[in-house]
Amino acid sequence: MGLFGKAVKDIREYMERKSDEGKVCEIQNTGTNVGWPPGGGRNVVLSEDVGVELGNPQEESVSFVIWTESKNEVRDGIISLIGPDLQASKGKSLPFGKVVIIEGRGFNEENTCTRHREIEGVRYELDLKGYMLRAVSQYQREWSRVSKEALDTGFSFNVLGGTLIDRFKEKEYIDGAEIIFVTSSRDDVKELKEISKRVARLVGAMNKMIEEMSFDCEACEYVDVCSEVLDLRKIRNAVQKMHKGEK
Amino acid sequence: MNTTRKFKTIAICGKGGVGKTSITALMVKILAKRGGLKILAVDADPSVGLATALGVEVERTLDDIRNELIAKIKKGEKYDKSNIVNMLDYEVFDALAEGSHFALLAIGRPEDEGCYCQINSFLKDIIGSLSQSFDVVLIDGEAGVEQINRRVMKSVDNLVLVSDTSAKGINVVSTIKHVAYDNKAVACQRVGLVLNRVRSEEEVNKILGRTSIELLGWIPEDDYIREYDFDGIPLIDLPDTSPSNRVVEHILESLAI
Repeated sequence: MGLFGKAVKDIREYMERKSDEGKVCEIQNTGTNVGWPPGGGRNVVLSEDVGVELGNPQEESVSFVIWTESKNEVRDGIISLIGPDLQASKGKSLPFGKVVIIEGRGFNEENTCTRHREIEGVRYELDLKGYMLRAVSQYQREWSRVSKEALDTGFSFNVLGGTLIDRFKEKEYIDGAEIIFVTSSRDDVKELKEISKRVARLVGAMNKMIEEMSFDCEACEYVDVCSEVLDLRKIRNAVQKMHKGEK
Repeated sequence: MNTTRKFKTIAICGKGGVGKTSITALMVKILAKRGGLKILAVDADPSVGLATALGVEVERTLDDIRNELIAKIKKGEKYDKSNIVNMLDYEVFDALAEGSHFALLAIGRPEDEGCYCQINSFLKDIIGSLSQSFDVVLIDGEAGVEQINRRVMKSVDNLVLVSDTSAKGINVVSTIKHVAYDNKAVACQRVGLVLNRVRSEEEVNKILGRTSIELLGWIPEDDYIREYDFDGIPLIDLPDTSPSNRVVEHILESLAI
């Protein structure tokens, strides 16, 4: 089923519920993001220049990336929007949810942790004029601001999502990417947060394996997810083997 | 392609009570009013007086962030380097008090001593990378420059030394200049003197005979500043026609900012 198999399934069910509520709008990435000017690394958007704000620290916010190696689970290039797009939200501060589902290949116990960090790093490398991002992976929070000027010149979730999809697909092991943005309500973001908790536990367990030399399963707070998810145990065994080899 | 533009930095130092914070606030006001510039003001004075002068409220200081992180680490939370850096970056941005075309970062005072040099180093790196997103960075410092090096940044473009007309004030700026420039405590391209609360040009001439520091400008006793301070009105609202405003404008021009 893969590391994030259950999370992918949960996301699909979430999308179905939101679709039944008539909240889902789908955009096929059309490549309109191509050519959005870079900000030259100077992408601070101060409050008076803010056109729209997403996931402010006082608002609900969740953001995570999951992947699968299954060919039919990711709808490559699709940007799903639950809630208003940026152009329709001028002057607002919105709750924010973002899920990226990646179709990759060749993930194994030796490269998964490194790849996870690379995939996580993609959003920090974005340099889009008028778009500012602050994010804490550990807490799955993402806070962004889009400037008034960027909104006036057409910045949208299509531009943001499309650019992200392009960047992900620059990785040799990524064949497809799909993004879901949620701006509809705090409750919809909170619902997504429930799914994110398990993802956070899986990522936390992975990080712990890398950072700590201890393999005392009895005392480990991640024993539940580790005993349930085969891929996680494979990573654990590979890390343990590596540590033994070093001794 | 490296498109990073160079931001300009000014550190304002001098003996306590000579008007550093007022001058920093006026610099922020003048630069912010030009429009098109993004100003980062850093209050490196533990009394956090710059926020009042700028009419904004500081809810968290850099030291609050540092101490919260240390408390989490002591509780057993684990972070890797990239997680810490991204989290501190998020928290530092959240701690900015924002005004019109400017943002203020208050450094505060460390409450929890201990060997957390790596966190201090990350925070300094974050101030450095945050600064790159602004056009001008103004640092309202304590009397000495050592803490600017230790807690904010190791080099500035301009070191503005502020003194009143007292011999003590001039001695302090001479010492700061010696430590900063001659002893290289903070790398800077230019050091200049601003005399504050001057009563006559004669006072200025006498002081210039006692110091070799380049005079950037002198500010006369300004009734507006006295009134605003007395009534607790932020100096960011000071009229452009006030004598202090005009001199500070001239000082900024002479620093090519």
